[in-house]
Parts: sequence; structure tokens; C-alpha cells
Amino acid sequence: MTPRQRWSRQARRGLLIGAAAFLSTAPLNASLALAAGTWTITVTGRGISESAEMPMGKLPTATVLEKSIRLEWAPSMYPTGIEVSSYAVMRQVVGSKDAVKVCTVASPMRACEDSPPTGQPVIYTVVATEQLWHGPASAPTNPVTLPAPTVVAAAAVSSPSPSPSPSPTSTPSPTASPAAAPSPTPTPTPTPRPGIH
Amino acid sequence: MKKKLLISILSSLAIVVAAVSVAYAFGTFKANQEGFRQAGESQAGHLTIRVEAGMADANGDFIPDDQFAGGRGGDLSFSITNTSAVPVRVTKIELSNVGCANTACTGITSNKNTDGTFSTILGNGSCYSSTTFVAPTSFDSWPTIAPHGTLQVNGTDNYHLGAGMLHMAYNTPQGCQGATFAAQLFVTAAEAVPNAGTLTQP
Repeated sequence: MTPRQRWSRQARRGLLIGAAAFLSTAPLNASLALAAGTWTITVTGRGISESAEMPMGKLPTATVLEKSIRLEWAPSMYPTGIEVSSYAVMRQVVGSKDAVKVCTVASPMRACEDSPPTGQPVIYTVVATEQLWHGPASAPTNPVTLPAPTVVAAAAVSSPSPSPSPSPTSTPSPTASPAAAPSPTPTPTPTPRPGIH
Repeated sequence: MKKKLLISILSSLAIVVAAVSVAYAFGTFKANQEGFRQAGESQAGHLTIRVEAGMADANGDFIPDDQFAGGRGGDLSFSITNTSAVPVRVTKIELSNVGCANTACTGITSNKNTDGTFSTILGNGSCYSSTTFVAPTSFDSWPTIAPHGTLQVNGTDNYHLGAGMLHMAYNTPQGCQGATFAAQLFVTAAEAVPNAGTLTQP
């Protein structure tokens, strides 16, 4: 064997050993080569959003019951068709500027009962609410008046309710005259009596 | 004999070192660029994307969250255009406060003040302080953006990708009704590796 042949044989052997070493580290090489494909890029841009505006409350219908007034109304919806989460029902004595909240109702309920002072015409409005947000009030109902309780002749049993009868003498006909409502006598304060919470 | 062994070892080492070096050089290449622009565009090697603000949905139902139950939040509208020749996938979206002048700046701006007045300086309204950004927890359902394709992100697209990205605190003042909010975002995308079953946004 000539020296040249010997050198060639050694070189081939070296390449074989080198190839074996490369294959033994193949997993490492593969993962790095794969990483070459994970190009990433980060860009700045803006996203836009707009908050909703509360829808208007819907005109309630008021039904005078024996001892209360029942109010019902249609749902107030966002343009997406989703109903607001709650409603507030406001009562206002006719001629007064002040309105008191008499009910807070969580949707999907849309009804409320209120017991306003008797013999006093009041109007109601509904407001759609969402946390601290509220929308425009609905149109007011027509004035409604809760009639004074009819004091039947059974006055023998002393009723605990101090009837604000305008007649000082106990006449057999205790029908309350309608003109008694706007009397300057101190009527009981219209404390809100929420029917539904 | 010693000489033969030395030649063999040196040859082996040379091959291994060369292979590892080439792979490492490719593997560690990563481009990253930041900026503060309405429509950001950047290039990383052969990858380029552009993020642009969309139109806010004026008929939405973005309302304050419930204090205890949370809420659905509001939709964020923007588009991501793949201006490169390879498909890309969104991998991360973060709120960016690059360009904030003070520490109170959150990366969200508004055109209204909490008292209901409009800000005299555009985007300087105080309603921003009631809002928070909520990033998607996963981008697995986000479609691949085809080369030169655009992905619309909002609350009404087919995937509702932008839904619920902004939230308002339960005590957000009444005056923030109808406010417009702008959230400055970092959008990160990666070259999409072809995978059977993945959706591609044209």
C-alpha cells in the first residue's frame, strides 16, 4: 500500500467517524433548524371601542288595585337586542318637581307595585339603569290616584289607621270627598314603599 | 497510528461544529420592532404585518361590568394585514404604553370626561381611567392570515375575535356613556407553519 493510498484510507475513516458523530447529535441540529422557521414580528397599532348609551325607559301601564298601583312596562333594549340589566320606577306627585324611586327591578322582570298616599294623583316613569348609569326616563303615565280606604261602618272596632277624614263629626257616611286631597293638612310623607326589589 | 486518530477526531469535530453553527445562526434570528403609530407596520426579515384601527361600533352594548358578576365587556375593532408573502398567525396581543407621557397613562385613551363633557384635547378624556384591557387567553382559534390577506378583529366578525377585549369598572361614571376608547396594542405574529385543519383568512 502506497503512502497516498494509506492517507486516503485514513481520511475516509475520519469522514465516517465524523458522519457518525453528526448523526448522534441530529436531534439538537433538528430543533435548531426548526427554530429557523419561527420568525416573529411585533407591531404597534390601535383598537377602537365605543361605550353604549342607555336606552330610554318604556311608558308603563298603571293599574289601580285595591291597596296599590301595579305598573308594567316593555323591555328597554340595546341596539344589539340585549335587554338592560335593571329598571328604576319613579313616582312624582302631580304638580311637584320631586320624583322618588319606588322600585328597583332587575330584568327580565318588568313589573312593580307601589302604594302611594291615598287620594293624591301621581304619575310614574320608568328609567333603564346599568350600575351607575341611567338612561332617559320614559314618558309619564296618566295621573292615577289610589282611593282612600273605604271606612265601613265597622268603626266600632277602632281601626289603628288614623283616618285623615276631613269631617270632624262622625257622620254615618264616611265617603271621603275628592276635594280633600289637596288640603294643606300634613298628609303622611310619601315614603317610598318598594313593592319589588 | 496516533496521527491517524488525530486526523479522524479533528475531522469529526469540524463537521459537528459546522453543522451546529449554521443551525444556531438561523435559529436565533428574531426580529422585533416597536413604534407608536396609528397604523403600525414592521418588517422582520421576510415577515411584514400592519395593524390599523377599525371603526367603533356605535350600536354596541359596551356597558360597565357588574361588581360581582363581571360582564361581557366591549368589542375592540382593528385589522391585521399580512403584507408579507408567507402566512402568519397572531400569537400575542398586549396593551402598550409606549409614548405615555406620565405613569398614570395606561395605553387606553378616551374622547370623553367622566362629567360627560368631551375632551378638548383629542384622546385626553378622563374616562380612560375606568377601562381595562383583557387580552385573549388563547390564539388557537384565530385563523391564519394568508399572504397579503387581512384579518378583521371586532365583535361582529365571523369569529368575534375582538369581543370583550375592553372592560369598564362597575363604578364607571354616568358621563362615560357613548365615549370612544382607543387602545394602543402590541400585536405579535409568527410565520405560520402549515398544519392540516388550520383555517386561513384570505
